[in-house]
Amino acid sequence: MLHPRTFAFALLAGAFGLLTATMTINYTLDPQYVFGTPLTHLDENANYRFHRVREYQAQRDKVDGLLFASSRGRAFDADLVARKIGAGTVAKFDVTAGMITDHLPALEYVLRDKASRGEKIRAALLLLDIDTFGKLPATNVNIDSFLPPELSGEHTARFWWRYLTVFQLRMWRGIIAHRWRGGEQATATKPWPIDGRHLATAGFGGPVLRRAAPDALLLANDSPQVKLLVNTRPNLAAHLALVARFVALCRENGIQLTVATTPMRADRSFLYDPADLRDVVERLSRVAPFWDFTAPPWLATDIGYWDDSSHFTPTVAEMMLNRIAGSNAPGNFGTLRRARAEASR
Amino acid sequence: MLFNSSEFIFVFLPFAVLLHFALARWSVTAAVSATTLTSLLFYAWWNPPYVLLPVLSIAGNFLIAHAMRAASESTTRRLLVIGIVANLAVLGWFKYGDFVLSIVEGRKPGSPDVPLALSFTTFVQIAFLVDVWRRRGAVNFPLYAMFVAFFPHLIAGPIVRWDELGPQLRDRARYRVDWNNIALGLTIFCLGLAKKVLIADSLSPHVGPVFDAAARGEALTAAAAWGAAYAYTAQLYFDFSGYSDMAVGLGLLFNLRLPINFAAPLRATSIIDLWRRWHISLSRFLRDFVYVPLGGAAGGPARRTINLFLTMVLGGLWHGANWTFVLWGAFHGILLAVNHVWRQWRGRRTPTQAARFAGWCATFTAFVIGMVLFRAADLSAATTMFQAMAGLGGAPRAEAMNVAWDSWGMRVGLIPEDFVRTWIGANWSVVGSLWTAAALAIILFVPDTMELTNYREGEPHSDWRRNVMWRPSPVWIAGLLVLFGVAYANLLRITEFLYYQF
Repeated sequence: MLHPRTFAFALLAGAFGLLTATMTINYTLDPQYVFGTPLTHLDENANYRFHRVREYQAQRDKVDGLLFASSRGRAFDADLVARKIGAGTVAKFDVTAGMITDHLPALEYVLRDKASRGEKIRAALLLLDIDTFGKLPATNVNIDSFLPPELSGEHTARFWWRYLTVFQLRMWRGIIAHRWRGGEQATATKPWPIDGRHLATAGFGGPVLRRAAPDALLLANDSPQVKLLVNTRPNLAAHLALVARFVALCRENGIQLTVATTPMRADRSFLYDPADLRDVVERLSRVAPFWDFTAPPWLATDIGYWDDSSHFTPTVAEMMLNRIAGSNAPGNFGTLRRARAEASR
Repeated sequence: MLFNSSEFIFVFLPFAVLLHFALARWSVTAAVSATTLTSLLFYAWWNPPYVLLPVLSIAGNFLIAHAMRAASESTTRRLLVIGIVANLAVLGWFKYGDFVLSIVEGRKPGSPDVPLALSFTTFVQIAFLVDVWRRRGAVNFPLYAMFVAFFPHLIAGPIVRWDELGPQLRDRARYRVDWNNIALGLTIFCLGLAKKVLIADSLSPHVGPVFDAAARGEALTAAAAWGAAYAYTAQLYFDFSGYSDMAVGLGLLFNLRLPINFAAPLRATSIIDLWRRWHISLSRFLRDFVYVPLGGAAGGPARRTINLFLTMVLGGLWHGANWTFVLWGAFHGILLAVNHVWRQWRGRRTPTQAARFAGWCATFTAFVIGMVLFRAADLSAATTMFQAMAGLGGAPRAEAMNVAWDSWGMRVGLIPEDFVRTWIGANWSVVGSLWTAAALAIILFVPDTMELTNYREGEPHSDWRRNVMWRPSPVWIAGLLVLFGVAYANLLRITEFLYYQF
């Protein structure tokens, strides 16, 4: 038996010790690269929502063009985008698992900032991922996906408190292990454990990769297995409304907006019901005319165009920009969709 | 601010406790006023402008109580009625306005933006006015303000009474640090936190997809519907009893003993017994301020049945302005009436072990069925769930899955894929079933927080516990720190307490 005071102090010491250790480790290792400590750098675990705003702020006086995208937007070269959409300097807001719930606050922030400086944005490119559109967003859910205070409106202290106090053992372990091995990037680590509701589709049960020719890898398996996962889209109507708001804001501010969807590799699109994908495309076209970059088979099945199952290469990005700009692009890739009512206007 | 957030645990709570006892050395009134202000800060964290509501409500009720003390008998009664009506009018305006309009306009009720804590503070203050009317005792404003606003019980109870907290607030000895209470309070808080973060929040992602699918009108398997109903029952229990434990623990840090809200209710062997152990502070409020004024059991069995039914319907409606809650209350009213009839018919015979087990099965199953009404978004979703539970869901073989919990098990061959697609369906999982079974096993076989710590406060029937097990020992420190550490590691996924919505 201990004296109750000893017992209480021991508990409090343990709890506050845990907090202090967590804060020290988070600050030192900086897994989301928000403190700017030298052990980490901008890798796949970083909070891109935070960094893209900081990057914009660093060049805010030059920026007159914007690119909004998920991590798929990293294939786009900012200078090339600027040339193709008719802007001088483009600020990229390509954020991990980015959705319209991330893009709209970013646009609103930039417009507020520009208005306060008496400047304007000339053009914007909004890239939407049809596979995740309308699903539960990652925005403000995972530790790497919290919006910076400028966008979310939350108090700055809360933002930093969260990054100081979050317990992320796997991240710490991964970073330490990687540094120990002398690795340059902490890519072996996984992001903060994702809430079950936000689980991405599991990539099994689909086509299998195989080498079909010396210089090409094709996705094979013509007899599709049964799909395992098709997430529902509980936020479809809400996200369509946010896109409409995004379009209206651009119109009100005289911004030349281009909306486009991103292509999917065959094994990824295999996980989705084609009718469901068509329905999203159809409903999106009622909100805004957009470039539908559904990947044709020659693109979807050639692994040479893909960095991984979700991300396409800069070559594909360039093809998309060329198509949008009206210059040469391979056939069947990129269709301008607009609803019948819109087209007849 | 939530009890299960790091800013509450590491910043707000230490600040509030230290401030309270530091000022108490100088002046009790200063300590009470400071704790009232920190409690209002706690409330304002959610929505600053809304803090005006409890402030005005506290001031208004105090003025009425003050006037009642000096007034004649008839005026006092009128003031009491005015006070009760005013409290209910505010509650009705925010919580039931749209519901009433929806009935008039023949549409589905919407989701009103009800100020946090309103349902609980309304009951606390009505009980206070009745207490003042009965006793005519002196009321001190700072004490009264702290009684209502005290943050451990402010948002979701327990629904405290002036006659149990008032004397404690007046007791000057309680303004000195008591390490026994702090040790016990920290223990109870840790156990409550673990219940909420580690168990309730782990069940939540399993429950949601099934009820969401029901709300979309999708066909469900019987396993999914029953599984989600059991899982939600366990989730709600761990969520709300975890919250209530934390509230009791926080009260002890201030040297105040709040009444318990749960006494292992899901081990009850009859629905009457269950309602004596589930949300005890609400049950006693409904008993004392609805059931008894209606006549209680005084008018004979038929009258008692009607009174019970009306009380439970009102209790259901208190939880939310939705027909599902009305039906849930009515369902329990019927169950209680049936239970009373059964008891009358059976007489005073001591039940055998087998009879007790049968009683538990019937009680638990009925409660789980009722929980479908409690959780379903609307009557249509509840109907979908009930159809599925009756085996009439008509769910086709799931070609596409909406949840990924079983994917690893299927991939490595631990879980037969065909079984999942045929019997479990697209929205439930074997993993969810195992989690639910584990949670139910904890409910049934692991001693409850209050049982472990031998904390006894509130209704006499909550005094059901077995042995005192908690001791301020190194083993308990180690165990609690492990629990706290694991809970802390999961704190980023902060979720609100289910009862915050009521």
